[in-house]
Amino acid sequence: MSQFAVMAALNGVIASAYLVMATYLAPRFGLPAPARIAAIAFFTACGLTHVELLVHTLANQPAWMTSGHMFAIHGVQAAVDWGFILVAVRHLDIRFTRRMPRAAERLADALHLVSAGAWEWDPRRDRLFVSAEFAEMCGADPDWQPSAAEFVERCVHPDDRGRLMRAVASRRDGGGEGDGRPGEVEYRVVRPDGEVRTLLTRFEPSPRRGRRGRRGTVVGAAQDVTERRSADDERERARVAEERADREQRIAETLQRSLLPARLPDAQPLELAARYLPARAGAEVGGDWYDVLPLPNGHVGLVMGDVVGRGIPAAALVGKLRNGLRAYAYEGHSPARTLDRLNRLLDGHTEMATVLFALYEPETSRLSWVSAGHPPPLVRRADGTREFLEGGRSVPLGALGQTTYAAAEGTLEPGAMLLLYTDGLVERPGEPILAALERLREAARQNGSADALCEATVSALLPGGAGADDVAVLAAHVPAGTARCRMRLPAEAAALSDLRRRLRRWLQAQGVERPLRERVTLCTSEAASNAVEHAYGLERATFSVDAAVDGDALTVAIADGGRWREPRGRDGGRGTLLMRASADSVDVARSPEGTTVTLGWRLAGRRA
Amino acid sequence: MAPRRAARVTDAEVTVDRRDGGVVLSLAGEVDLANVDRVREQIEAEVANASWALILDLSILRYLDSAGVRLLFELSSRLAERRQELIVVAPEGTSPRGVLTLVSIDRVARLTETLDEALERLRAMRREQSRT
Repeated sequence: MSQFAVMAALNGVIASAYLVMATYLAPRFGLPAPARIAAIAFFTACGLTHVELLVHTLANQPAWMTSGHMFAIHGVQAAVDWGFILVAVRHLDIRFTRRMPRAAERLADALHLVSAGAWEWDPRRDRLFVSAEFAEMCGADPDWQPSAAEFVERCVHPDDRGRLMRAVASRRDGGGEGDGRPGEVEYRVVRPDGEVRTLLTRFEPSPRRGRRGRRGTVVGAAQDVTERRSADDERERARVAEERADREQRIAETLQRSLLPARLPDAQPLELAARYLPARAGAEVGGDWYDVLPLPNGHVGLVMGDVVGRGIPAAALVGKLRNGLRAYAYEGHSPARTLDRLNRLLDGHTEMATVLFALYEPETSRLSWVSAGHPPPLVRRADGTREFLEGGRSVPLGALGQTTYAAAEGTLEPGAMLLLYTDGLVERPGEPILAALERLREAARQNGSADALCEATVSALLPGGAGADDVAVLAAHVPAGTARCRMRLPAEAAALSDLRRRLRRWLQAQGVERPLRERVTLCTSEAASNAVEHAYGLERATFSVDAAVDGDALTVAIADGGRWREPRGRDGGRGTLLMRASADSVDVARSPEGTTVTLGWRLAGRRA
Repeated sequence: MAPRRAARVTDAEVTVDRRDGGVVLSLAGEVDLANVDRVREQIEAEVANASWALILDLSILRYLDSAGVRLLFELSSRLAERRQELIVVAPEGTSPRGVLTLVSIDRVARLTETLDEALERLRAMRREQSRT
């Protein structure tokens, strides 16, 4: 074969290679249209050059072709052309595998059946081939063939990128840095429309080897588990919410219990009883509370309140009202003025409460009360009649920013009982409130102790325990026949005038005439002065006074915690002299616990 | 019901009136252990202004206890040192009168029913003094 024939054959092959590239491959390059046209033109031109060379070689065998020199030049050009073609085809290799690799394609078909998406990542060329399902999961075009970086940048939720890339890299190459075992990773993709989906991807290094020892790819199958996860999340959220509700319930209960008196204080002469019935299981803690305030001036405050709302906020508001009410009452404000101030304490937008505040004055049996929207207290008179105290009513606390409450007044005579309660006692579904109040009035028919009254009313109105609402009941009983005045006072000289004022009022209420009243007051004050003087220097020392009328006998006992000493030079014993001269009997009893002076008088014109 | 302070210190009011060479101190309210020192200060400030006698008018005083009694005895001895007399106005039937009778105040002071009676006594003392 002549060298011309070889040259001609070579040119023919090169020409056809160029023509194939121009006619078949160039349009498939991932190039924009002008570049594609330019590429076609280039390959066509290259091909035509070789066609011309072929024609010349075969037909003319021109003189320049015959020289070995020129042959060499043509040979070099052919070699360069082949090099170019090989490089181009090498590059085009990507484009040949533009479609899913066949194994991955079969996998994708199988996964389609279970709504899963498939992908294959070729790390060497950094291309990700995705199935139509996977592209859809990501909200991408089915033909999309991104690099791993593009995919991560465009699709993967920023918080999950590191995790995904670490997971895939660790399994990428059986012989390299990864261990080649299958892996699993869950990550979120953000679709172009902003929707976030959670994908669970299982993947493993493909055993497939590329030409010339190319590294293996990674094949993965992804499932959209968004719904499943959100159901899991929902369950988790529900569990957390339930736990929190439990915790809040416990906190609210603890808080509320701490706001109720652990035991009722000594509020002589009243005999007290209370009940607190929490709402039936499942309901949140309500805002009921009651309080008993034995005030420094000997009066007794009785409080029943109900905060609108439930749970911790209600319990917190109870704390605010309870402490505010105590502070104002201890400062000596009347029930009406106390509620005025309490009302200003509330945030009227969010806080509301009904309160009944009654003040009992033991010396005079006087009862004054204010109701801020609270159900009326029930009084059982000494003669057995029952009545609701309807006066003194006004709007609930927090209903009006500025309002003035006005008290109503009555008496709570010896033998009478007062019952305060919250609406849970009388509000039941399906029963008119008036009917319930009537039943309450009936239930209080029996005479007895405060405790018996609580028991009778609660069991009559709520035979099955509390309903959906908490119930608080507070009963105060003035024992019959008690003509008694008991007080405990600080052992300070400043307490003496208060003592005399209260004693005088009580004596007056007992019908003791003025001259005797003054003598009893003088003797008691003298004995108390002695207690005060002897308590000098003691912290928080107190003394008590217990005055009683029994038949025609009036006795006053003054007890202190100190040792009785015969008065020093203070008044030359005149105090003792005054006592002994003004009382029918004076008895001084000393014990290690203290000294009790008992003064006695006979009341003229009374039966023994 | 009027608001009432929980603890109120005993109130006493002392008013002063100077006439006929004497000082008339009127006490109102109550005198007890709690305020006796304050009342004593107010009274003693006036002792120097009395030339013949000091009249203590207790007609409207509500209450006087042994601490107040002691004050009266102290006062009478101070006045005695100055050769002055203590005249106490305490009408029958009042609480202070009962107390003062019991402690025999009449041994160290002149006890009268009314202020007029006390003033009459004061004028009598002046006349007596001018005669000598």
